[in-house]
Amino acid sequence: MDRVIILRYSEIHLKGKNRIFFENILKRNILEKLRGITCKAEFGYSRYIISDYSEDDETKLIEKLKTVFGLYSLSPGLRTSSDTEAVGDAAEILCPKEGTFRITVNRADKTLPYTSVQLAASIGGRLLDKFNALNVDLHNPDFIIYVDARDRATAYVYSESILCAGGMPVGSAGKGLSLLSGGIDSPVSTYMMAKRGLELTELHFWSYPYTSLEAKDKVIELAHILRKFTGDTRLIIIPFTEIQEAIHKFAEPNYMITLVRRAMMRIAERIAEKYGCGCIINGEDLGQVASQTLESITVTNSVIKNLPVFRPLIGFDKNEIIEISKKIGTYETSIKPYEDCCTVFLPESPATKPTIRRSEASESKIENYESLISKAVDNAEVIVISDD
Amino acid sequence: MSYIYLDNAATTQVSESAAKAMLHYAREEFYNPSAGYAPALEVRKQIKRSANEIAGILGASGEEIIFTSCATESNNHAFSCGIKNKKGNVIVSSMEHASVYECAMRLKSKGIDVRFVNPDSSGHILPEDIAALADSNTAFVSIIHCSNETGTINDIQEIVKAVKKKSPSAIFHCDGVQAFCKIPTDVKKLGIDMYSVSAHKVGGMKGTGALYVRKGLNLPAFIAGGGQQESRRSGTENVCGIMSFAIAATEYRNAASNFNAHELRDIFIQKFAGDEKVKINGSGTDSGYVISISFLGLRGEIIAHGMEDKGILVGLGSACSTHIRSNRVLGSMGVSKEFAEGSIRISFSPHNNTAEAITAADALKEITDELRVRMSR
Repeated sequence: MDRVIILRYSEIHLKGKNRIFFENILKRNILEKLRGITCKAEFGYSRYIISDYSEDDETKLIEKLKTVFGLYSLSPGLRTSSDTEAVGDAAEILCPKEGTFRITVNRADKTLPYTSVQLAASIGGRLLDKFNALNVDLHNPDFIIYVDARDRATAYVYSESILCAGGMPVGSAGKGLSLLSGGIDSPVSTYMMAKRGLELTELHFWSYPYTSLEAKDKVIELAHILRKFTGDTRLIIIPFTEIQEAIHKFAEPNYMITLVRRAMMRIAERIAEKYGCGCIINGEDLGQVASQTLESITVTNSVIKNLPVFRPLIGFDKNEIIEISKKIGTYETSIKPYEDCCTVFLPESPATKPTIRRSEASESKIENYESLISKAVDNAEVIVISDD
Repeated sequence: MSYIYLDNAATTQVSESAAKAMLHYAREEFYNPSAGYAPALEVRKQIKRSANEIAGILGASGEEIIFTSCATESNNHAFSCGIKNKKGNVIVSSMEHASVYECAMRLKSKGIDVRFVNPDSSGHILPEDIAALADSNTAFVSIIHCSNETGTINDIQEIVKAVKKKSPSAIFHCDGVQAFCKIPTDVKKLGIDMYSVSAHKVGGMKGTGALYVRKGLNLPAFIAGGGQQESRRSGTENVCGIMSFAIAATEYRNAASNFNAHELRDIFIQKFAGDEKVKINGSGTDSGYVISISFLGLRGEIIAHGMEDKGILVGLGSACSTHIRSNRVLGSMGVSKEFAEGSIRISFSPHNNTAEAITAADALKEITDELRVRMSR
């Protein structure tokens, strides 16, 4: 008998002939996550087993595996042979000494010398004999002991299933470029697209000296927090000061934010192309602020020529976004009060219904606009986000 | 990179002899001062000697000094122990450091009658304003000696008189962090009951502060435990911090007596004289060690970043609260939000010299002029 963690994958099992492609990426991501912890990973059909680890590492393993996209749930439990005696021993170890319970048996190997019901009854009887304070309740038990008898040599006995991150394995959906401002929303949108299998590069616009070194550190910290979902990644920092100053100098004040966001999208598209990203992701949420009205989004989106822009938060309420950010652990960092570049040169009344025509007219007044954009792209700083 | 350091109100460089003393008491005489053997007894004596030294600077006696972990603790100590039975009202100024102001706010939230007195536009608390607020039920008053934001010095002696006239039994606490070693202080002459000081503002270590408590003022213990410091503040004494504190303070006071901070302050004042978009906050009596300058239409942090790029480190205001955008102290002096947002704080130590101040003032002028051009439309 040994301790194991049983992993189950999520919607990959819906895949047809290309399932092996998704499985291979999931296996790779699991192995990457287990790096540094001594253990063995066995990859079977729709069920992976982690074994041969020190008991002290179990909690750490579970915490790490819970964040692997593509896994639906996991169960720490015991692996034993399928004979009634051995399964009973394992059940005794896992069974709390009092309360109500039931045994649920799944018998994959139909040649085993008992039916599921027979095995459940036999184990249940043994537990009842052993612990006086136990009672059976098939409908609403305090706990359930699951027995998954695979074949004569192998049965898994466990009592809990822990939900994992779900989604699709990171990297299975291609590459994306996610805009990371440092606020509450963008880490959540990054998380959500990583969940759908995108391998992400992150992009931040930095306006020193109008924003501080602390603001930059905050974004780096967020990228590190997100790393548990995204895996190792790159954070690209764009020096954005000159562009903001130029827009501030030449553009209509109420178009400031609109034009800043158009410049950001232009830069994002070039960076995406440079790093082979097939889409751009941002944390826009319809109607949240002036720059996120339908008209504003139309105007900023119009500068993107070749790539789709994903806005996974578009239909979310702010409190729903906050809830996710707390769950993924970015909230506390996001609310640190450092300025981000969106607050620089903030007009008193930003346009909520900007038009493409007026935006273009304003942009045409900006001297050397194109060269400023190119310069920002060329001077991007690349920070590798890994555990090194 | 070596910087011109002009944020000495936030903290100072630990003096070499203080650092040596710290190492000595960490490595050589590391004994627990409460232990019974001879080497420990020697450490205990040294602590007393340090208390005497610090008390000497304040015109007090060694037994009136309680060592704490910082001035914030000293201030908390004063508030926690100085208000007996929660009776009577409390007066504090709105130009206090956060560690006093928040203590007062906490009392207020507990239902105690806390009265706030604003400074005048020159940044001073006027005795008559305090007198107007005080009455026979006033139990506790806390007024800062020298402002950490503007460097202005309050006339504590007159303020104490005004308070005691109305309420002779009122306990008077004074936050002396920015005045300690910089301006001659005699707590007896001032007539106060408690006085908070900090080591790291005068070349000592972070993690050490002290509270003067007038002899005869019986306060309950702030930290209960093994009975150290006459049971007033239990916990094994921070010997390294305390020993280096006394050395640093004496050294700093000697250096300060040969240092003309006003000369450096005036360099900045003259640099921006006549500029309507620049305002020096606070006037009248000041220590000279701190200057608060506001630039209309700019933001303090942007100016500070610019200065940093030129190798000059300045502050934005109380380092303990730089992440709170509005500036309470400047606001209470009537400085408009437009000016207050563009404020920086420059603070000196006797290690600074005229050349540094000239370089910094030139840089500040250049940066703010440049920013105005860059941010103009």
